[in-house]
Amino acid sequence: MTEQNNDYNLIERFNSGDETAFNEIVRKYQQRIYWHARRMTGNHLDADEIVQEVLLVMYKKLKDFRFKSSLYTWIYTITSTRSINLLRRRSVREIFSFQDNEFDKASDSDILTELENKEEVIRMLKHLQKIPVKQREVFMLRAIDGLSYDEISELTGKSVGGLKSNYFHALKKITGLMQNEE
Amino acid sequence: MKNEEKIRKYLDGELTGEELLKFEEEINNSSELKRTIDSYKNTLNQYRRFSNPDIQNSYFVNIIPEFRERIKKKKESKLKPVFVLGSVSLVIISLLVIFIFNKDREIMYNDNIVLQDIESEELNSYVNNYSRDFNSIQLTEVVEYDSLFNSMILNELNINGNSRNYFADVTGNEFYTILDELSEEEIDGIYNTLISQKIY
Repeated sequence: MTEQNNDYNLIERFNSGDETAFNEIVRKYQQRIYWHARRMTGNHLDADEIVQEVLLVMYKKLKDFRFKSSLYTWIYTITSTRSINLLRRRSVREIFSFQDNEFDKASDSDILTELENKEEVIRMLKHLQKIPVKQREVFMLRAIDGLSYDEISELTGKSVGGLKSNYFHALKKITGLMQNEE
Repeated sequence: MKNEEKIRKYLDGELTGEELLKFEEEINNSSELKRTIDSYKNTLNQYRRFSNPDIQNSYFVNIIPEFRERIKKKKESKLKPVFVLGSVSLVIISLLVIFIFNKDREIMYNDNIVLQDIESEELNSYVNNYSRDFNSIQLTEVVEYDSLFNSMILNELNINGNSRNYFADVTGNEFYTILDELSEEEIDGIYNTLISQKIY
């Protein structure tokens, strides 16, 4: 059974009242939702909040999903939109409160606490926060998730040419940030 | 083709055949280009390792229970439309009742507002309604005592012209109270004191 068919069956079951089908959909995509939100926002608490928001939207709107795109594309778009909205709210807060960025705020409750390479992961997350959102998104999908430009274009709705350009700018900036640290 | 575009294509694996061989030769001949490409490769290698960090699984196990808990709370706190409509109607009715009741109280207890704000026709209806609160004998007595007492005082004290403005009128009820509480001797005493000391 293809992934698309499997998703279709899960959605059909959920729309017929089978709540366990929703749990299966969540289990299937929760890691991707979390890490996308985490890389976009830079901290665990915001990512956790976005995960819950995305699940709520899915729960309410799955009955209207018509498979014009893959289920993951739809989930990805919701996650991206929520993350960007949160980043906008955060930047407004920072302007008015004169605070630095907040990605250290969740260190106490971070799920990376027992991770051996925790410091390295946090350092990379910090670098991601220092590049523009559009570049960050493409870089994450290309360099970290290993998607092709066509797949990224389908997810983001942007042209392949623009994506290539954004990706290379991001790569240059992040490399520069890493070299400055050494 | 610009060098940056070549580098991107090289890193993305888009260079092939002759183009690839030529660029690899360029890299071998330029230590600066080699260093640049190595630094990009190093960045990409680090981030690729980051694609699936080893993390606490308990977080993902708890995502669904937490979501279910939130949904439950949302449903519990969600007010039913009928209940909301009923509550709003109740508040509006209560406000109307309070408004109407207070308006009546204002009319009953604040003579100035009554006289200034209401039309003569309306005033007549109030007089007709509230006059039922007194019996006719009581009302006649009040009027008689008021006019008798006022004319006596004004004549005895020889008050006329502008001096009338300083004369404090006594209402029927107050007059009754004075009469009940004072003896004939006390009334005569007050009267004589007023006359002899000319307190007017």
